[in-house]
Amino acid sequence: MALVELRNVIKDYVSDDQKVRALDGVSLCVAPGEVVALVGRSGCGKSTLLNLAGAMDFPTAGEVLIDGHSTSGTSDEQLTRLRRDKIGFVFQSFQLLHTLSAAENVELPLLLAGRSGARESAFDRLRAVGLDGLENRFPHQLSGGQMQRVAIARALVNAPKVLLADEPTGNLDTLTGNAILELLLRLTREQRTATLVATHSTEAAGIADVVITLRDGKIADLKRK
Amino acid sequence: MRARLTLFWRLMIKPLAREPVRTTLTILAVALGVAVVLAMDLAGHAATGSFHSSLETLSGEQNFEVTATGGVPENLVGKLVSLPYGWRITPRMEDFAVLAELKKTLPLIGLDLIAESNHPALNKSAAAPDEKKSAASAAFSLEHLSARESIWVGNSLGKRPGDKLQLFINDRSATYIVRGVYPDANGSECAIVMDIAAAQLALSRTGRVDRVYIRVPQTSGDTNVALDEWQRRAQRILPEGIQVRPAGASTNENRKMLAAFRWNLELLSYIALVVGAFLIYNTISVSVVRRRAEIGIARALGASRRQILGAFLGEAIFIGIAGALIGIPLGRLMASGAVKLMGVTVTALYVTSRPGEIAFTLWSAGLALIVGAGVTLLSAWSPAYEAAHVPPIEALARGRREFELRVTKTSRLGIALTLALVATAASRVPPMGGKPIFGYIAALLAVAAGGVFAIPAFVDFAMNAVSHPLQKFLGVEALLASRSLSGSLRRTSVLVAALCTAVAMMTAVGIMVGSFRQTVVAWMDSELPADLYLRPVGNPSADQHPTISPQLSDAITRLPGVRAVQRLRAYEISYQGLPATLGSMDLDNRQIDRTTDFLSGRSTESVLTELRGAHNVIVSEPFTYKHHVKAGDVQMYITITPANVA
Ligand SMILES: Nc1ncnc2c1ncn2[C@@H]1O[C@H](COP(=O)(O)OP(=O)(O)O)[C@@H](O)[C@H]1O
Ligand SMILES: [Mg+2]
Repeated sequence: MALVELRNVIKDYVSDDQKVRALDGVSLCVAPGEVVALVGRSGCGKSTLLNLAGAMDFPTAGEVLIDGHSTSGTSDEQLTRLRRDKIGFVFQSFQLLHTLSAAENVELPLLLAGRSGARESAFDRLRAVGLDGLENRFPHQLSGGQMQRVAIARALVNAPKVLLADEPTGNLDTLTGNAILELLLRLTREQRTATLVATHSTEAAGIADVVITLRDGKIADLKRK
Repeated sequence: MRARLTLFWRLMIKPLAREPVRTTLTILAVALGVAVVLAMDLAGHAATGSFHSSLETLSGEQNFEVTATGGVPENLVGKLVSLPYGWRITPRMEDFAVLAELKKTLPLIGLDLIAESNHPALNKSAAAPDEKKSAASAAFSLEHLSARESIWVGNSLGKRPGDKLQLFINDRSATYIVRGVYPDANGSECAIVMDIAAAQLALSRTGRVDRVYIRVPQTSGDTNVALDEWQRRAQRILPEGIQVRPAGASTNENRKMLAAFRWNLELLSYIALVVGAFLIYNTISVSVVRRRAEIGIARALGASRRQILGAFLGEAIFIGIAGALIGIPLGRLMASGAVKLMGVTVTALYVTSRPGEIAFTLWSAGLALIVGAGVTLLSAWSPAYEAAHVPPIEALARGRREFELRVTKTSRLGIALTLALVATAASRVPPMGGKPIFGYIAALLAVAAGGVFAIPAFVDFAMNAVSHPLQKFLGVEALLASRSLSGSLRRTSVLVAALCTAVAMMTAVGIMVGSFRQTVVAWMDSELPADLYLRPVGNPSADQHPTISPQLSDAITRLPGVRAVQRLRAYEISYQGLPATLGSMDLDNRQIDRTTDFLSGRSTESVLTELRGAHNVIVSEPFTYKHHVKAGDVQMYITITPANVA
């Protein structure tokens, strides 16, 4: 069964009284343990698709199902639980809270969920992404690659079923980017998450199970390995 | 629970500690808001709530007061005393004296000390410790009682019997000896007490007294009816022009006159409330809006709306209470200053008064706390609620709201113009029941129009207008500064609106006081086209009219280089239950050019001709509004019993 499913999704943005169709009738499925790469030119709708898949935003028409639950017409409480328990999101620009240390950033989802043992889990995750020893540093004391690792650790700390990463290597040099990609792939396989990665890099596309090319909000091409 | 506390600590409290300057400023802004509200609340009550007239000083419990413009002839006092009704008659002189060493004006009360030697106020000194007791009883030894240099003062002046005091009374200065000290701590004002004959002499008003109090014997049954009857009887015995009124009537008249001032103060305190709330709202809402992206991140990571709202409200309460704790003592301090200022204003505009005590009650502290914490809470709630109710991705995207404002600013400008038109119309509507209700509506509309609707467009326009010259003269940093200002249009607008309100408020108070000064200056310029204006030492108070002796004015006339001397005499009178000033001057002095403007447009010469030797008066424009009189009305009835010229 698919963990993430989009059914004929349309997303319009309205600005300056003009409608921009960011997604135009997109349907896709992501199964557990599967890595799907979203490629395409800037502005083709990759971020929009990820936001919808992570219940960060909602479709204008069509349906987004996460672990079988539709994100439209669901109460905010249920959506909050969905985000908290089932989704890990890695933002393009990291989105770390700069007033919190690396470990505190990673602890955040667990504390919000009221789980115990947050500190130990956070340290475990940071070790898993290769950041042991840097737990008490603040974001401004970390490099771009290290910040992205913290963001990945934070996205995975609640053992989500769905992992969404928006250009996780976009701000990094190729070497660091590749390391991050390998890390994502390894963790996906280990935890059997359904992973959606928006990316520019051909390496990323190379390691994915499915590569979807978007053009003007539509799926232009779908390659399965 | 533990997780929640950890979260609150990390997300809300630690950021506060991490930005100490910002946090301090935020708390101070709340404190200032609380202080302004509290100060106006306290000061308004103190300055007007317990208005204390010097007329009440040492008057004791009385039933009626007898007054007449220019004073009550002494023979009438004798007539009242000789009536077989068992009335207690207390004649008084009332004026002001200036303490030479402190340049301080104090009420001067002349009492019939021989008859009053058991006056309750003066007698209290007998209850003082032994040493003073002997001094006090010595003070009332008969040889001193009517001596013209004997005075009695309140103990708040810090004098002891035997001390010498130099006093200016009208245009004369003399040294007086303190014969006794009476306690005045419990609310009665420190006044200088003299024997009535000595006071008449000092004031050059022999043959008349300023006020006569009547106390009727205690009767059983319906005392009210009996009091009315007593008043009618007294009025029948006394000639026309002598007023018999319930004791305290003149004080009440003054109070009534102060009602307008009090109304203004009350309004000012509401404006202070709005300004204070605005200040708090601005600071707090900006501090929440700044963290909108963090709200988005927290929501994306699984924070519920309740958690977001709870965290910000918790922080707001923390800041609100911290601000109130600083603001309450600050407000108390500011109130003292404000009361002093208001006391000066009341004295300058209306009547010599002494502001009451500042009553710092639990209620006012509670009000301040509620305003502080409550407004802080509301201010935090609205942006936090907004950020928690949009999809997380939208909260993450800064600038969206600003964008929306930009789009709608043109239509908002239209609303602002409409409101401004309505406000203009409302400002033309006459007052209702003596209160400019529509004026307030106009002011509110103007604030709403300017503050809420027009300012975004205005700020945007101003920023666009100045950014070019700014870059030219101050370089690219200035351009960036102005851009980032107009970029965060919402925040800037709120700030600009708060500043506008504060400036408008200060302007309003300035106009209120200034316009009075202006009319006085204008009147003096036209009425007294003189090079020098002489008045005896003392506070320039609206109800004090110290006199200069004719000998002195004659002497000045004879000085070389003096072309002309114009003499002016003023009295406090009561007209239709409100105090007024009756002024008079030499109309026959041909050497004075008069340029008074009359509303009727008639020439000064023809109006003044009608005044000469006839029963005609001219009145000021405010007087016509207050009493609804117009030229030609025969309504004035003033009897001035022949007076010796002072
Ligand atoms: N908040 C928004 N408001 C208006 N238009 C938007 C918004 N977000 C994205 N868009 C538009 O939607 C289209 C898709 O954007 P996006 O999903 O960010 O593309 P990508 O991530 O592939 O670069 C673009 O044309 C973009 O301009
Ligand atoms: Mg994108």
